[in-house]
Amino acid sequence: MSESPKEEENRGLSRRAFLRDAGLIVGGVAIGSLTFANACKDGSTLTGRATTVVANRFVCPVDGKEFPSLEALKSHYSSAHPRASLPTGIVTLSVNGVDYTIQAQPWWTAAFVLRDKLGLFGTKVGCELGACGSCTILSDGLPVLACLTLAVECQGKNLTTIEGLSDGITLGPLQQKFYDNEAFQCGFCTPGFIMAAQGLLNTNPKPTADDVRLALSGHICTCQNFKKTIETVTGGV
Amino acid sequence: MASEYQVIGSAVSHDLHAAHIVSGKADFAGDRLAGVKLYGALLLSIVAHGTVKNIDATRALSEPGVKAVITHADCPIWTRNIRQWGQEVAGVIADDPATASAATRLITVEYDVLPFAFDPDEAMQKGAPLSDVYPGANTHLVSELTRGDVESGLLSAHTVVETIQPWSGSYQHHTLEPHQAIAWWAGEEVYVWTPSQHIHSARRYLAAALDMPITRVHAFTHFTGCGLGDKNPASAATIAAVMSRAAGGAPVHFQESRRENALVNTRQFAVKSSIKMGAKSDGTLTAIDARFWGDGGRNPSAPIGDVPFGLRNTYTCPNAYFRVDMVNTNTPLRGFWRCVGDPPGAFNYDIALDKLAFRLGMNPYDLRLKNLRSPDALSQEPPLMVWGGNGVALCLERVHQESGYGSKWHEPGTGVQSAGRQHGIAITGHLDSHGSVSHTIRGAVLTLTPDGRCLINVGGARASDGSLTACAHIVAETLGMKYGDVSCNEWGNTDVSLDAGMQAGSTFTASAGAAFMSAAQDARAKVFAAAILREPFLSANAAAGDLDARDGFVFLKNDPTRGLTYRQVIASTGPIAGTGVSWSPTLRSRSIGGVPIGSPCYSNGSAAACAEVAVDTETGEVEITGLWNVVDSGRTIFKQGAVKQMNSGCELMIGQALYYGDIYDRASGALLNTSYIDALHPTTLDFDTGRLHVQDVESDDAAGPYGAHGIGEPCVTNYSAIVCAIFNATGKWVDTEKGGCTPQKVLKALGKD
Repeated sequence: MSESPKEEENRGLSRRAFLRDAGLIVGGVAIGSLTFANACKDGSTLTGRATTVVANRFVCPVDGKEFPSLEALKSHYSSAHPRASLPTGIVTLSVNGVDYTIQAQPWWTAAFVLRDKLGLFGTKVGCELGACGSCTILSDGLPVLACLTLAVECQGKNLTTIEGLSDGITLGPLQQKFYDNEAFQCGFCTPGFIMAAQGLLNTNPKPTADDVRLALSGHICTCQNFKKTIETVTGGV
Repeated sequence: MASEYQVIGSAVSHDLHAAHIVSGKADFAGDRLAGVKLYGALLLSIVAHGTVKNIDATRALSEPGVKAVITHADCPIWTRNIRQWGQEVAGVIADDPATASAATRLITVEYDVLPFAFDPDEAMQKGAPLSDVYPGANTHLVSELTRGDVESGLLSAHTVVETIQPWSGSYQHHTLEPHQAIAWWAGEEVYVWTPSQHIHSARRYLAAALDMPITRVHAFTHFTGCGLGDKNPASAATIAAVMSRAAGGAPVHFQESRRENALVNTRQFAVKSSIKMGAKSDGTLTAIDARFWGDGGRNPSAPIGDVPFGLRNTYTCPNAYFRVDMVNTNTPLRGFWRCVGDPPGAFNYDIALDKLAFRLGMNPYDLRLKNLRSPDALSQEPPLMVWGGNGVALCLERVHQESGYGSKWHEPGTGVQSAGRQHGIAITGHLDSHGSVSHTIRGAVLTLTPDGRCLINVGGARASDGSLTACAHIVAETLGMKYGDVSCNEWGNTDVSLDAGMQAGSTFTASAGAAFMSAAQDARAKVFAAAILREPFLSANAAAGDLDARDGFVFLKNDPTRGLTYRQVIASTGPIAGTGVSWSPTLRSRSIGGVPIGSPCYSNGSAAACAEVAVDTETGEVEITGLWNVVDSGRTIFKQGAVKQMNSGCELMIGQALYYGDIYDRASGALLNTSYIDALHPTTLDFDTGRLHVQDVESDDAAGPYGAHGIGEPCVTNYSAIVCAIFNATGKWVDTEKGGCTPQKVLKALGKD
């Protein structure tokens, strides 16, 4: 999302630092903590589903006291309100065509929300490091790793999980092909492979074996059974 | 062959739970999340050897969201005695995984630190620090066996070759599905969902660990991810149960991080060997003196006893000495990995055979074939029993044919393909102790329902080996039903199933399969007994022996058009239950070597592999240009499952040969590569799967159900074949110390490091 020079100037925080500070400051990322956003905003406007807030004030959301710096606010917060819950974000996620509005901690990953909050456990968590591909979902049709994607980042995106490839009863075309070819072993990596393959087919409907090998090269299968998977996806459905 | 059967061996039948898997509906243990609001994380030790002196969890407990902290005082399988870097010390239970994990870093632990035993060679020296794993010593004898007169045999040999292999690598499974469990308590009863290769054993483990009556322990599993041997122990289940107890019995999901997964679970042990082989000038073996050392890590009972099994039993040699010693060090646990002790043992003796062949000026294939034991030979030492089936010769001959080995083999180091690229090819064969029908009785239950279907209830997981589906095939075949009319609607529930056995060592198809065959025979007998009381059998004065069944239709043998469907019979009886137990390995289908049917026998797995490689002598990279694997299934039950198992074996062994290996920091004893980022696993770009060629052959194992035994284990021979092929390509043996044939090691072998 584009930012005005003023927003850019005032962005003093990386996403990771934002995570660490857990909602005490906003750094140009869409977040729905309306109460805190109102406490911090400097003339910004809430627009639609995406809320961009510029922060150059540091206001405690519990007692309203203002501080000159983030460090000062953090110090006050931890000493004055040691057991207070940190501000959480209200996010609306569109998953498999259904909108879910939830209250999410800023550090919750999409994988955690999908599985533990929305009951969509088809997306698997193998490493939480983005190294295995098990958690692959589609975001606006393209593969992303749900373990490295924050739930709050998904506002405004159309997410598709493995469950979304079928209608609940009838398998989707790619799923059917995996079924027909028995392209799985224990099955733990299979949803991630299928979603990555679907992402490939969304942009390349008739991939060659080399296209498939490259597209799936970010996936680990410790049963070690790539052969059937590559054969299944090659040529499309 | 398979065509005489209606169901088993079919090339088109699908896994019972295929739709679950591809639709994302397969519920692994960690997916049973309904009601879970608490999560557990571990704190691991940062010393390799010592004692926990004090644990201060005050700061952790004061963190928002943290509910409880557990230590060795709470968890009966933990101890204050630290024997490895990365051993469990404490656990945190909190509102979400990130909070639990962050809180572990707020726990302060004081240790009394002791010197640690790290290097197994150093640990064996007098005066080395004691690991305190095995009482009083770092080394102890595991097994010793003598056959004939080794000294005379070596003296009478034309050629004697001694092969000393340094310590191989240890390989952690890094199973994609992390070890984990979800546990909760209802009063004094505990409920646990966990991935497991032997859920009934997990239940017993839990009951013993928690000191509870087994009837109050309820263990469940459905889909288990990638169980290659390290999902036998039930430590994650126990930890989850303790975490839940600490949280007042609320459901807790405990999932090990990748780092924890790598550190606290078992891995294949490293093996060192010294093997002397003596042979006549024509290659006939005269003596073998084989000594093995296995690094058991902090497992005093690591299963290294099987290391010499293949060498002892695959080849005929009248004079032999086998010895296995275990060394225990302050490093992580050792255990099964795609087999027990066979893989490192097989690798070591395959290298020894190839070196002997090279010295004799023989083709290694010819040397192996010359000394292979006959399929109907008795074992070479007491108890003298025959093999149920021994397909090594069949596999070797078939892989020789399929790969074109005969026209491709050349003397080592002479296969120049192009500038800087050398061709190599090798064949190895393997007989392993698995695929055996278990000596422990296994049970099976099934039900014939009024709609004419059969539901099987399996006391085991739906695991990667396809064995649940194999059981369904066996049931359908035995009953004379269509495969599609057999379902597995209940499995992995220890409350309502019989123990179907361990899904490891390729034993499940043979042992649980035998139990289900027995259960199906029981049910079939009941159906026939009911059927003969009805028309058209009644007026034909038919006895049960006059009936047969096919495609769910019970008919008169002498008039197959007359009969009743299963549905029709059961409409008159109500549901029929069948129960069965497995049997100890006995010759069932034929007499072998003069030993009559009914005699005790062995039942093993066998396979042969041919690896063809191209070695880049400038970069050290090894390209697998062909890998052929022929596996003797005895009888292939679930065809598509067997093919997948064989493919998997090839791919896995490529990983072992070229990539795998634990990496440690010597100074601290810390395992360094604990994630997929630094513990290398092959990806789709690392080899061309189109060059893998697998085939099953059926030797008709005389002990197993329909002649079947397991096939997952003997793929380990692929590893040997690849390393031997690299030798054939370069004329140099790559140092496989502590891991696979990396480009650096290949270059070193070529003198180019």
